[in-house]
Amino acid sequence: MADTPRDDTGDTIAPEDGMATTTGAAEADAAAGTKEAAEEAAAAQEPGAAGESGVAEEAGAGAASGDGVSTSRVALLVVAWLWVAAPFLYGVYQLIRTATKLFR
Amino acid sequence: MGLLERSRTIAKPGWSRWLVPPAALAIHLSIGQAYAWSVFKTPLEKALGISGTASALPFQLGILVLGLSAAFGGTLVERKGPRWAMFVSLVTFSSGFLVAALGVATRQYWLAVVGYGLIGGIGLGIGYIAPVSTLMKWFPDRPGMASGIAIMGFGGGALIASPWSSQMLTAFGSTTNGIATAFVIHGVVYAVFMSLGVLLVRVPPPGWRPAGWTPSRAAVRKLVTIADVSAGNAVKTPQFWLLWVVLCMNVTAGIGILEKASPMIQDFFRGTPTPVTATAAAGFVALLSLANMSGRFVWSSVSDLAGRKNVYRFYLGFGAILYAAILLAGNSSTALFVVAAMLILSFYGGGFATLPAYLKDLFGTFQVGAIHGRLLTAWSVAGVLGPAIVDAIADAQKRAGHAGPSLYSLSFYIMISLLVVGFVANELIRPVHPRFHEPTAAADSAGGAGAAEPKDPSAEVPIESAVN
Repeated sequence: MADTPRDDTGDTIAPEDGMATTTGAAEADAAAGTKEAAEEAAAAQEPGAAGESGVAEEAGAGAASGDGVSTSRVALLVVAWLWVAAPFLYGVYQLIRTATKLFR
Repeated sequence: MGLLERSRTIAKPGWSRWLVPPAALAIHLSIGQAYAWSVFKTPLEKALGISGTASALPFQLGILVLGLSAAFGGTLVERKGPRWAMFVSLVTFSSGFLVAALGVATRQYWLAVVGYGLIGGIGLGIGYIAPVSTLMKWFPDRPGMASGIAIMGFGGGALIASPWSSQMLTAFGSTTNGIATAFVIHGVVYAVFMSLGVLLVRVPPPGWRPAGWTPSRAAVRKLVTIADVSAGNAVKTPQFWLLWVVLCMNVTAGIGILEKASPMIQDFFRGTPTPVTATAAAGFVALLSLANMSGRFVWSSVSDLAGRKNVYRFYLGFGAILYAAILLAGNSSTALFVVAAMLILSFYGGGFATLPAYLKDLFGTFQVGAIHGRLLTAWSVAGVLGPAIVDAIADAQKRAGHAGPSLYSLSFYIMISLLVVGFVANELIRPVHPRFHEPTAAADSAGGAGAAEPKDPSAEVPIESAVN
């Protein structure tokens, strides 16, 4: 059961962004012999397991450290959404320009 | 391949689930470019001296391969995980453009067809289904909204690509070199853009649930036991085939208008006091695209509140009424025609976007991506059926000397009938029989795809579903 992902304090992780992880269910999976689930749980506990991209390291660490890292997580959210929103808004703008032709 | 392994994508505590939708959008906004292929048709025809039929081949093959790769690759996507799938999509979609560029530059058109259609088509299919089950796991409380965001991206991809590609062709010229350069830039830019999705996507740790959410809170109306059904078993259930019919009918009804929107509105109002010019028709097509795209997000989000079955009742039932309204009004009101067509197209988009959540309700999250992939064969059939019906009937009516709304009246009666068939199929959908459910222990210990993805514990709890 030591492989089950958990936070520093116990069974239920309640990260800053308002999510919860019920690890009891994961333990039940591992107890039932879910080899792959247990491996994944172990992988989840490995430092950097989810953070190959760099950005993940920052955000993941954010749960455990101070405001500076929380800020970087917010920054990551902003960058990620801007990354997809900017071209999308360009497309919507072009579409609206075309659509107005119907009313001319 | 370590970076791409499923075990390396498990989110650490504190990872925000709101980072997953942009990851999905990075893929869907890219592969949605497929719907903007028409931008390249005329330049290719002029530069290579090919026919209109030939210039459509890369797109047609791409859509065919999309359906096939989604159907046959779905189980592999479930086993390997979303990052692997997104990476495969990135590599194939982008390299498809590069191979197509080589084909155009060397005037070997077959290479362009293989590049964009075959290689790129694999990227379309794998990329389309890649984020679906991951989003379902991150948003069990709002699965309709989550899949709606991603699938809206597929609609939005064409909005971006169409003006962007046109501007590029204007800048580089519509010669073979100009088109090849545009293809190379597309390949490189899409690879960079999609890489965000590959790097950002995460699967939730086993047992993760949104704060304050319990499966029983998914209750809306009818009590349904939601266990997990494998993709192999799902295709043996009547529910799968009823949903196949629902999707096929809904898409056929929408695509019939979408494919012929510009000539249709001009034909409808020709000779009336309010004729529609070709320029205005282009605006109408743009409005339909907007309705199609926004319907994907809006209606699938509504389905989280109203229930999947109810929202499909709305798409199919109200869709049939709208077609009837167009028939009754004829060419007396442009506004009615435009509004009704926009609503029908919003239902078309909504039908696509709500489907993954409907599948989750019926079959659980276990292999929902693979099941989704197999169901998309209905899209391939509808993609042929809808335009074939409308085009064949309009051509026959023209030969018979008809004009105006009568060119399309019979098509619209057929669309109403198809929507009624879809409505009935939706009514027949009941909870999946328990004999198709995965035995928990077997699913946990079995090899292959079934065991590769840890079962979502929430799915093992009998919950009240939003199916009805």
